[in-house]
Amino acid sequence: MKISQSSGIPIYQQIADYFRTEILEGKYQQGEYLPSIRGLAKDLKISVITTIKAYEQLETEGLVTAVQGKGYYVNAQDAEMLQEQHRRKVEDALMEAIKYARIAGMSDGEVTATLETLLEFEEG
Amino acid sequence: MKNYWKAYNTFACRIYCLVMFIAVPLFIWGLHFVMLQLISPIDILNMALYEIVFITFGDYFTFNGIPSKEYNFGLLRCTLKGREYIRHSIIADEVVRFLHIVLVSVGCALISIATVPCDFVHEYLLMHITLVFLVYGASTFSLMIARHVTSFMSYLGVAGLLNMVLGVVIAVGIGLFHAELQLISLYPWLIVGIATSLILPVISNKIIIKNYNRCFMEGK
Amino acid sequence: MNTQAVISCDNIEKQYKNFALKVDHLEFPKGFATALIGENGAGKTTLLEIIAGLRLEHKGEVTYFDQYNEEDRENNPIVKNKIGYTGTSNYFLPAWNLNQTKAVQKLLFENFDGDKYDAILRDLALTSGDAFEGDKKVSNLSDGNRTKLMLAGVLARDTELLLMDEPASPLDPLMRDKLCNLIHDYIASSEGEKSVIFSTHNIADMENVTDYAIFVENGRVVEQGFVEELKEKYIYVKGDAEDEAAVAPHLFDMSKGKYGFEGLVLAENIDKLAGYDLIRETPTLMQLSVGIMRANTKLGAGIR
Repeated sequence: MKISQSSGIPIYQQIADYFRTEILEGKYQQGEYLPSIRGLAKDLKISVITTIKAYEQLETEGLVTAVQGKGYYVNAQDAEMLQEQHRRKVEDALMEAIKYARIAGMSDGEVTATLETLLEFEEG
Repeated sequence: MKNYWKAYNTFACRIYCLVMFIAVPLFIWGLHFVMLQLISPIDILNMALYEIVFITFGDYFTFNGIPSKEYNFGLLRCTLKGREYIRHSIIADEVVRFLHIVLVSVGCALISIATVPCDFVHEYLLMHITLVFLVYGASTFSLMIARHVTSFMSYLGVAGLLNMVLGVVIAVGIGLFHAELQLISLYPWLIVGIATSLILPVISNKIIIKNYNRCFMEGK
Repeated sequence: MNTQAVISCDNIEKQYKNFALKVDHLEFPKGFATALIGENGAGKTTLLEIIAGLRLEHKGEVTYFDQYNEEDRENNPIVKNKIGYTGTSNYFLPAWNLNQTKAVQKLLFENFDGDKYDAILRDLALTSGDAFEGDKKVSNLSDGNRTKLMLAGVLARDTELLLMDEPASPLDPLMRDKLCNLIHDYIASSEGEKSVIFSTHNIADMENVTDYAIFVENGRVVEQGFVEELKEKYIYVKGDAEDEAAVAPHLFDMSKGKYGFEGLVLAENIDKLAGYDLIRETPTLMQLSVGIMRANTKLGAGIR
């Protein structure tokens, strides 16, 4: 794992990203524990609290579960469940967008048009 | 007993012990042997003065500063054994110092007996015993004061002055009034010696332990 | 975050001639490294010494390991045995040489491991195993080497808490890095049982090992928290000189230059700055510290 101190991406985020990829790629089996918090902090030369924050983020994403005094183990990675999770995130983000659209006084047509333009951009 | 010695050894390093217990006695005995040929067993008076000087000088390398306010005892305060450690060290020092004086004195006496047996009368035996106590009392007294002085040059000044005063007292008191003029007997001196040898070490300990307790109390 | 306290202080008060330390309630989290940050004379050393039991005259109570009070500390050897303290000056007696520091610590601490001590000293390049070095007087060592010697002493014991007063200051950059490793190793040697509390001015060097930060100014705790939480609580902003006057009231702390300004803003106030052209950054611990210290200092803004 490569951690950059000056990439602009918070360190905890970099760690969470790394383990998320590892887990989704199946490198961690279900029930397997992530490296111990303090051991990882030591190996990466970062603070314990940063490691905890990274693991907590993975926990809120539902990828791992915390056990008091034992650490974080990897949850069953159900493909359908993951898809469902991501779909929910899309909904959340769109809801947020709609909220701002209302504040800005955009019509529904304008919002969908913007979305379509963005989608085209992304594909192009 | 073992702990006393161990604690003492953390103040008195190996070089100090070698010098103090081998070099110094040999030096004094040698000097005594030479002087004996020139004067008489009364030379033990001079040797007593040398002994005080060596003891005070050596102390600069071991317990110097221990009753002073600058002594902060650092590490010792991080454990409950600190006070006991200090107590052990200073008691061991007092015992060792006494034994050192006895060792030197007995050595000198044996040299006198071996070289000038007819001169070494029973009178000298008493003088040796008196001097052991007097030297011990005097060195304890001068250390009680000189240990407060931590810079080497000032220490030499203060300790030197104290030694000189005490030396003069012993030289005049015993050498002049007793041996030369026969004005006073040795017994008052013996009593003074024993009394100071008993009282001063106790006071000295109290001062050091008090200083140890103080270092927890005072603000910066 | 839910954490236990390794040390908690309640109503601590200590009065000096022109300075008073006053801490109502303070908890040091167990299993983490806590940094005490503040100006010279802010009260960090006094606080550490009160906790270590080197200053007995003070008001208030200190609780150790969630179960011992100060009376226990003075009577039950277990408390002081669990604590390793390193101070700044007069830690070793002037009479001691290197060999004697080992003998002394063997005498003073039941849990002192002499072989480990030697190994650490070699690791820190203080001795190369040459017998003659042992006669070197501690008082003749450089400040950096004396700090190494203190570190070796506490690390050679089986402790649960390290209290270190300015461990980084006298050390060179390489050794500071090593110090961070030593702290990491110590914390990682048990999963959450061992804690470290240190004071430091070398914030940038110690950032990677700091979990919890306590900011002390003029004898008061002015801010504290887990570093990651503080980094969310405050945002570092930079802006142009023309916005300075308008933005200033919303900033927690600001430093002005010829071309612009920068400073900390509380995350809750960031919305108030929505209309301005600002760069927003997650503050480093150094930026946080300077901002928080400057907001509470008695130092002037500089003579221009």
